Formats: sequence, structure tokens, C-alpha cells
Amino acid sequence: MADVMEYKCPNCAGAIKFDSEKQKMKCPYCDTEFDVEALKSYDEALKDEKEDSIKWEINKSETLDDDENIAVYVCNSCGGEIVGDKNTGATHCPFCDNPVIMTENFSGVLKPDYVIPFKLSKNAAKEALQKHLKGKWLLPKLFKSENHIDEIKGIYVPFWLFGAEADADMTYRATRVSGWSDSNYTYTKTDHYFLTRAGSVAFEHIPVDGSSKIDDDLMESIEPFDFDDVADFQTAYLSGYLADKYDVSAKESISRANKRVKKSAEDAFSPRGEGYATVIPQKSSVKIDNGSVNYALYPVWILNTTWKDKKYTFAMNGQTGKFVGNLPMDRKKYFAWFGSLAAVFSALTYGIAWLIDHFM
Amino acid sequence: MKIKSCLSFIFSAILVVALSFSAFASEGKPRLIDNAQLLDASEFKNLSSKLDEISERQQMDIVILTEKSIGGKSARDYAGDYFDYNNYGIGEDKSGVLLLINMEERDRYMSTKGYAVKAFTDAGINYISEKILPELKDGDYNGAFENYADLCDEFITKAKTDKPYDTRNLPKKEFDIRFWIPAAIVAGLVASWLTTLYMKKQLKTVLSKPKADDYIQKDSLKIKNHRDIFLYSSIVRHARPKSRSGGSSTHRSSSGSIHGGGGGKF
Repeated sequence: MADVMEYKCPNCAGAIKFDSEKQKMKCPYCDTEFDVEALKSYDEALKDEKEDSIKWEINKSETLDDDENIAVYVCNSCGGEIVGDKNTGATHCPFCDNPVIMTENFSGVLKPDYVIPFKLSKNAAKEALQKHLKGKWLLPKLFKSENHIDEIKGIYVPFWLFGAEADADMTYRATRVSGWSDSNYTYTKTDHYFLTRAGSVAFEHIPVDGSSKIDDDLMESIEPFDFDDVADFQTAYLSGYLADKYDVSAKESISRANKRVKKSAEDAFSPRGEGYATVIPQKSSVKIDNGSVNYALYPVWILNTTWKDKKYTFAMNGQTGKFVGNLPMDRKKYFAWFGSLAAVFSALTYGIAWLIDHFM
Repeated sequence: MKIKSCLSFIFSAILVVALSFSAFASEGKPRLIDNAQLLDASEFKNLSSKLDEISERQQMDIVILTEKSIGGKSARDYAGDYFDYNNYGIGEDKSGVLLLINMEERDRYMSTKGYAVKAFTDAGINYISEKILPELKDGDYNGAFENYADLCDEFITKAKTDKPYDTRNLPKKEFDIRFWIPAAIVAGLVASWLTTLYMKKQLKTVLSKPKADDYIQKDSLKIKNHRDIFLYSSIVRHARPKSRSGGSSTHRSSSGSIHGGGGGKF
């Protein structure tokens, strides 16, 4: 007796019933023909699609010793707490430019596992800022001269470093297109495929900004930090610099690291670049496992500038020298450039067309 | 007996003279026949000598015929017949082209014979007709005919280089200011917009990082599954547009000779 099975049509999702003794089957709704084996494999692959699961382990860290040289500063206006060397004599908050007061209390400050010491000096930071402002056509002139460049500060920014192993499992619908023609017609053949891609990839030391006072996007822009230069934390490193205390917990930072891991894992196994004409993701599941978390301080030079009632923050990676910071646009300059360029290009286009016509 | 030979002599003499007249037919016959009276005297004179000059030089009869009415006949037949039965055409193949303007139906038709069939392809006839159409519509018949004569001259010269104007090979278009001025303005605006967009982008350097590729552990990438399942195939076909091959279409006129040509309304 023959088996009667029901399968889902990959083209129109209608139900295809068939006799298991036949080799090829046709969908009664959309008339597409299929190979029996192809339908079977598709069906199995559909059953295999998995769901996400994420697990993290947060290591317990020690607290800093009650070191006499360390003081905690509290900012008057933004309430930020900064850790610094007593001898730094910091008087202004690096985030909001207001004066800070020293407090006596010093306890419960988490001891960092790692620190990347400053590699670049304040002068290097000032030079980098000058370079950053150069060659920006639409920058207001006043911005360059009204800058208080000297107040650039070296800060250790707190980061949560996440390590992870990601297990990615994805399915796609893809097509390969080929064409040919004879004297009467052009033909286009589309082959439809169902693709499965799965694999594992490991990550380490993904940094997520642990300070709410420092813009996360700003910190991501100066990445990457090279972990090879890292050292075990010693309070001596803080000398001459300020360190921000973390106020965003590791738990709260996990989701950011998650997102990045998932995206990297998906792209690592993606069939893009394999010659398919179209690739449409169907299901994607990324299991993230064995996460370890460390607390580290990374070096950043920061400068805040207020211009026309707006705050502009610049940051430079204190290890690699990468400099970022959004700049304001001078509207008048924009329209002036737009107008004059339009006139020049129009004249140029007309001239070239005329010349070509005359000499061809 | 004497009267008979006298008569036959006079008869043959008349015949000889008549024949000699027909030998001069193409030189003696007017090339501009304005039965619809669309031109004034001086225009007529100038145009007529122009047509004669071109025809002699190019060794092809360029004729223009205007009629108030052609009695309901088709413009194609009338033009062809007029050319044939009035013995137009230079050389063995009787090469020439005749432009007929019929005021009653507002028809225009260009009929070609001999070498003119090759020199004036369907595409070429179309081109010339389109060029003189605005002037015909406006009633500037002198302008249209002058233009027509010049174009014929140009076309015949071009045909003699063995490459007559055809579908892919038409006279160079004029530099149209009415197109280029707005086009240049648009191009200028687009170029300027793109440049200032780049200048604006320069100002923004703070961008979040969507991936964590910098933190992938070396050699940690392992592929566990890599399956490509072929599902089905579909084929679509499109009919290819037949490109116009060019050339000249011909027909046989009532006198039995082969004519090319084309026409329409104005």
C-alpha cells in the first residue's frame, strides 16, 4: 500500500498531496513542479529551525583597597562621581565643566580587572583636534577660534568587557538567475533554493560603555581598543588622570553586546557573496553561551565645547589616537556653497555639451 | 504617288520633330508646378531655378507639384503616375523624386524612382517629411519647399557615398538650446547637491558600531552546517522587439515602374 503524505509548497504554501511512489510532483495551486527528494529535505530543514538563547556569567570582582592616594570627587551640577588621584587637583567636571568637590568617603568602588594606560599625551590630543577641524568646508569660522582647546581632559572610561561563544543557525530562501536568448525571445531562468547555514564563533573583550554620562555612540566611534596593551590594574595608573565610576551595571549593558554579537555571527555565516541573485533570510537563531564579564578602564581624551547653546563633545582614543566628534554646520556657508557650485557645474555642463557638439 | 510620298515625308518630319522634343523633355519640363497657386511670382522663380540647379548637378529630377484637388485619387498613385507619364527622371533608370501637395485633402507625398529609391529610404523620407511639416502646417509653403530642396540635395550627396541616411544613420541633430539650458541647470543642481552632501558628511564622525567583528577570537570560526537545497525552477520568456531594418519599401505604379515613397497629412 502506498504512503500518502502532505507537504507544504515552497512557492505558494499550499498543500501538496502525493503518492510516495512517484518521482516528481506538481502543486495543484501554483502549478510548480518539484522533485520529491527536494520537498522532503525542505520539510526536514523547516522542522530544524531553532530559537535564540542567551546565557551570561558575571564574574565577581573585588573592591579597591582603601588607598590613601585615591579620592572620589562629586560634581556639583551633574552629580557624577569621578575617581582620581588626590594629587590631580581636579577642579572641573570633565562632563559638564562645573566645579567639583572632594569627598572623604571612599568605599565600594569596584576594582577594575584591567586598564589600558594612556599612550598619547595631551599635546597629541590637542594636535589631533586641530587636525579634526581642518578641511571641514561647512564648519563655522568662529568655531575654530572660540575653542578652549586647552581644557581637554584625559579620562579613564569604565567599560564592561564581554566574552562570548555564539552558536548561529540560520535559514534563507535564495535564487540563482541565468538568461539566454534566441532570435525571437529572451529567456530568464530562476532556480529557487532553501539554504541552511550554521556555525560557531567566539568573541572576547567586547567593550560596552559603563558610564551614563558618556555617550555610548561616542565611545563606539573611537573603537577598537587593542587589548594587547592591557595591564593589570594598579592605582598608580590613575596619576594625572581622572577615572569615571561606572553607573550602568553589567546586566544593563549586556543587551548592547548581545546585539553586536548576533549581527556579527549572522554575517559570518551569511550566504551573501556566494553568487546568489537574491538572498532572503527566513529564520535566525543565535545562542550565546559562556559569557564572561570583566571591568576595565580605557583611556580617552575628552573635550566639551558649548557653542550657540549646544554642547559638542570630542573624544580621542588615548591608545590609538582615533579622533571623533560631531561638528556644527554653518547654514549660510551651506547655501553659499550650494549656489555657487550649482552655477559652476551648470555652466560647465553646458560648455562641454556645446564643445562636443561643435567638434564631433 | 507623289502626294503619298509627300505626305509620308511631312509625317515623318513631324514625327522627328516630335521625338526630338521628347528627347529634351526632361530639360524642358518644369520642375515646379504650382497648380494650387501657393507661391508668388518671385518665390516661384527662385525655387524653380533652385530645383533646376540641384537636379542638373545631382543628375536627378527634383520635382514639386501642388494641386488644388486630385479628384479623389490616392496621393501615392497620383504622384507616381504624374512622374511617369510626364516622363520625368534622368538617366537610364529615370532617377528622380516628386513631392506632391494636395490642398483638398491636405495630403503630402514623396514619390521616388530609380536611384532616388535608394537615396531616400523609408526612414529618410520620414525624416524629411517631419522637417518640413511645421512649415507646411503654418502655411509657409515657400519655406517648406526651400527646406525640402536643400534636404534632397544633402540626402543625394550622402547616398552617393554608399551610405544613404537610414534608420540608424540620420543627419546630425542640431544643438538644441531649448533642451540643453534646462538640462545643464539640472545637472548643475545635482552635482552641487552631491558635493555639499559630502561636505555635510564630513562633519559627522560619531557613529555607533553595529557589529563586534573586531573582537572575534582568532581561528574561532567553525562551520557546522552548510546545506543548499534546490527546490524548483521557473522560466520566463519575453518577446524580443524586432528592430526596424531600414531600407526602402517599394510598389509598382500603373505604368509598371517601381516607385518608393511615403507620405501623410499636414
